[in-house]
Amino acid sequence: MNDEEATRLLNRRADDVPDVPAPVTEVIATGRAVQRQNRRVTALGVALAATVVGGLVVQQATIGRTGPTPEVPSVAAPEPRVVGSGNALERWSSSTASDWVRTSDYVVVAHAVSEQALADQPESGGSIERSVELDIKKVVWTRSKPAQPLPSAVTVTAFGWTEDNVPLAWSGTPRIEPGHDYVIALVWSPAQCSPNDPPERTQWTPLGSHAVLPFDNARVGYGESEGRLVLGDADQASAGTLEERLLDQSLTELRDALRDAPPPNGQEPRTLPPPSTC
Amino acid sequence: MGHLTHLKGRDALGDAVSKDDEFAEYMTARWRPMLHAAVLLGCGHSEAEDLVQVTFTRCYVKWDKVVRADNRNAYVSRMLLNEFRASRRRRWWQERPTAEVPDPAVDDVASAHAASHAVDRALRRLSQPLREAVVLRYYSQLSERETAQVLGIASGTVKSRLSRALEQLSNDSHIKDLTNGRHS
Repeated sequence: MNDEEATRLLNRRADDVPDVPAPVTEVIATGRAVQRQNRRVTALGVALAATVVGGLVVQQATIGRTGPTPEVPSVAAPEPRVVGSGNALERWSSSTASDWVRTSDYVVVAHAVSEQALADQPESGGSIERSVELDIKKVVWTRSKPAQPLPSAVTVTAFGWTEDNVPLAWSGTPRIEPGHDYVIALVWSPAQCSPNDPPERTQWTPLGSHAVLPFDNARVGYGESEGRLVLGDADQASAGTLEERLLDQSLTELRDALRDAPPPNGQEPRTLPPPSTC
Repeated sequence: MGHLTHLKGRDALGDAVSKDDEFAEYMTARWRPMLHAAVLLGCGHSEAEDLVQVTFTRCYVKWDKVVRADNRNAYVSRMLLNEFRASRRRRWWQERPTAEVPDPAVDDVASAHAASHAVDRALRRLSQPLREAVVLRYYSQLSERETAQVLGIASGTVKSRLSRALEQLSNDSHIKDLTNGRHS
């Protein structure tokens, strides 16, 4: 068989494909929607960010919420306000695969099911936090001796809204919005008792702001981040993070990255503070 | 492009309209060949439509890069191939539409389609690397060098893959039936 015969052969199959009009209008409309959502809003400022950076706290689904749980603001809310950068205020580093395996108990694929505001009125910093219910779809990685068995569903306390109902997002990370899938590194977090903050009970929590990756369609970097639709674009992920390294990759590559993660540099594998009573 | 009238009205910038016109012209011209290439790579018809639509959406979002590419068709073929491979990677845990019976019996289809199914079966017997090389070179009509660039392999590897693929296709019983006139 020569080149021409091969071409004729393939054309015989191609000619049998039904003729479908090109959906140009739909594609352009979708493309514009993606571009609109990709536009970033000017950062509000570190002061506001600091009031909500304690978010992304996970509670076991079996633990009841405290306080009122009013409905979420209208779906017609404006574009998210992206605040902050980096992870200086976080308890654990979560940028790399080594960070993940050093401290996490589990790495999971989770689907966000629903969300609720955690208060009627903004906290003193001017924001309303949000709880998001997550179904655990798949466990990707487990510490050899995890601190606790993982429930089948958890509730996340995440960034919510400003006092004027503008969605808040932390720069370069997902807000965790219903309808989307995420890869999340979870850790069983000890209670926190800071002098000027309300006590936090022992609970499941993402390792940090870089421990939540968009994962729609089973691909890293696809789905929701900063409250906008992302499609695995090179500039969406923070530099040096696992998300940047695994953009457009599947669970196979994620598993490989976690398995091959170099051991932490001269640090103990996991140094959690002892449990405390508030 | 008449079908873009209502979209144009929303544009404040002339260059956005110009971009849309340019994109629409390109997509209209390339829709059918891309659809065919997706089917030849191994997609069902409806899956191919979805795949090509997603590819063109990405193409629209990255249009500035697409127009700067040395070979636009090769660049977009690469995007299609990436989407196709990604769709295959996620098959193991994500359900896919199954609108079509995978391997219909020849006796059950019209004779006009029998040849097409014979080619389809022969292509399925090729390994995926060989099949991708065949589709890009002999259907998309990329040069061996362009095919190598799209696949990310050396030109010599493309040559050897094409050689092996043609040998396998020549010896395939379905293709032999086809060339002997049974399906023509």
